[in-house]
Amino acid sequence: MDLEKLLAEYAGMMAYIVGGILRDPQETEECLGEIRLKLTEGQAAYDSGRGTEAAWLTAVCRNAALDRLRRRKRRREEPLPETMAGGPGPEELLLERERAEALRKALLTLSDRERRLFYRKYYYLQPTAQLAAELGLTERAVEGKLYRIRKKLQKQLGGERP
Amino acid sequence: MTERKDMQDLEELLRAVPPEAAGVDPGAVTPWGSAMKKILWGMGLLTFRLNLWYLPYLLPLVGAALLCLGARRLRQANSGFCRTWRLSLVKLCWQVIFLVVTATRLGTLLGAGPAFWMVSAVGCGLDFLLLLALRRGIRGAFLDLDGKPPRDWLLPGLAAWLGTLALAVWGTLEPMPAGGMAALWARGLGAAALYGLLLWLLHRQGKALERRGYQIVPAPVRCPDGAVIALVLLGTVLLTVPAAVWGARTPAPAGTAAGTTDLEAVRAHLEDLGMPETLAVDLSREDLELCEGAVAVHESTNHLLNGDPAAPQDLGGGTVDLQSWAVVLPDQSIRFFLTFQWQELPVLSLQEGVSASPDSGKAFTDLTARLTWTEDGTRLAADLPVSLAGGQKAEELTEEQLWWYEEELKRLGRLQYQPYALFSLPKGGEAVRGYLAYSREAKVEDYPGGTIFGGWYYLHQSAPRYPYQDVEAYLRGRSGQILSFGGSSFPAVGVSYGTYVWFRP
Repeated sequence: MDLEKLLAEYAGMMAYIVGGILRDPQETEECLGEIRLKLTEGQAAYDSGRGTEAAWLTAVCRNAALDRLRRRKRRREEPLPETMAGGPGPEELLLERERAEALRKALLTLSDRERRLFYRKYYYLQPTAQLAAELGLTERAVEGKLYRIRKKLQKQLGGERP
Repeated sequence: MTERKDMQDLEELLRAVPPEAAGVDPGAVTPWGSAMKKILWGMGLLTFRLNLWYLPYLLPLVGAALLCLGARRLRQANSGFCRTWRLSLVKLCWQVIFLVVTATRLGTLLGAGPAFWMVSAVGCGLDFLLLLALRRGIRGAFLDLDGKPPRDWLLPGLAAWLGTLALAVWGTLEPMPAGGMAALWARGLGAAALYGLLLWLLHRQGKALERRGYQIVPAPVRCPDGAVIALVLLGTVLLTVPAAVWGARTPAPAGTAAGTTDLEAVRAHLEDLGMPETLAVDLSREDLELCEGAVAVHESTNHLLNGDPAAPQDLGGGTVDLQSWAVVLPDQSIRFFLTFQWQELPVLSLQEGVSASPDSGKAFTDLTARLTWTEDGTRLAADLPVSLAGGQKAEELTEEQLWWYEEELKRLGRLQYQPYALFSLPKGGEAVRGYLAYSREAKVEDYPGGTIFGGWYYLHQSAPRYPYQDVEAYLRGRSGQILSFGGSSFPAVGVSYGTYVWFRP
């Protein structure tokens, strides 16, 4: 895989995803720089068996941006709830896997459009205004759609909040 | 705190359920792609028509709306896209106006002559400017790392568009090319292929820039796309319906008070010979002069295609009585009066027409037509202009027609003319009646058993139609061909009625 070529081809997409989460041009640039460094130093390797290059890049960008966002929030003295010392145990991991699988199945019951919207809002953390503009809807309409999607998922997950 | 915690949990959980695991393509998020898709579909629907029901009108309207919606999304990216959006708005308004005007008489006026060319030039100019603006927007929005515009797929697309235009102009100037049907098909397919090429090139341009389409920031909207399309469709229908009623009405003639003439003796003499008073009192001065010295008046037998020849006919909620009269003149000619009298007026009168198909034995002369009615107690009358359909010469006919009309061409040197008069019933008028008249050389003694001197029709449009259909265009036939009488189906006009003139002395 020609990493330089890949990064050049997907530069726009990477900036779009990171920018949607961080919403600050400077932070976005810094985060993209960190991602490129990470990739060139081989800290995040692409596994073709797990998905496409685009899918791999979006996951790397999304996770990096999310981590940076959390660090920013911590700096602004908005402490997040404490995580368990030493990380999750085997039971917690198993529980999380089961929850993830349940969520995945519930997401598959949504239509393509609903799934895309859900991911754009809750995975890529795109602001509602951006979603509305890109989809040709008003913000209120987007919020209404997201509310209905969450209700559907809640029903699928047996009352548990998605 | 719970809501925030829930969101964090969800974000974490979604790490384990990446988009591709849930069947979502992470690359399919570009705002550029959806805008270009709408523009492409819009341009396609504006040009390629599906001749089914009202789709040839609805689909281009939806196409114009989609084009506008696609351009709307890009309008804030740069000046080229902004111009594209403004031009697409004009295009949408143009399309709406076109659809509304198509419901009215104005549509046929703009369908031919200098007006047609002017309207077409404006429409084509608009399309060309739109493509130019779109190209400029694309080249301005997408630059390579070294500042160069992207590969230009639209430039050959513009050339393809110009090729389509050239073929369309040729098709208008020469409907049937010299090469016959083969050339006609080749021309049509060529135009379709060139426009298809434009759309393909536009699609390629969109695809080529998809990875870079994320840099386009879409403009916010106040009205969702679906609502815009619904409003456009609803608005057009709301404008079109009244246009189809008020804009489709033939102007009613201006009447003058029907007074007496110095030929009242002729009128009285005709009544003595058996002409009904309702006809005699309506005759114009010109008709009185032509009927001076009449030797006999006969009622021509009407032979209806269907129904009782003596009974008034129901038309559009009203009742009209049709009769034909023959006035035998001293110079061995007969003057026929094809009369109509509304016993009960119809609910709606948009277009009325009286059309005669005189037999091809002899030429006819002295065409007149008149409409009379009562308004506020005053009897009014108006002379109607009479036009001629038919009359084709040999060089204008096909081989089959030449064979069919051989005798007629020998006798008259051309095909027999078919006179007609068009009008609408005056609003507020009562006791509306009128006639179409012509003279024909004929010796009564030559027809001891009677003969058919021709046929005639009273045409009445009882309901609005879309698109507007001119009764005159129908009477003249689609391409100037002869109106064929004797059939019972007249799809061009709401209701029609036919009868023969059979004179039996």
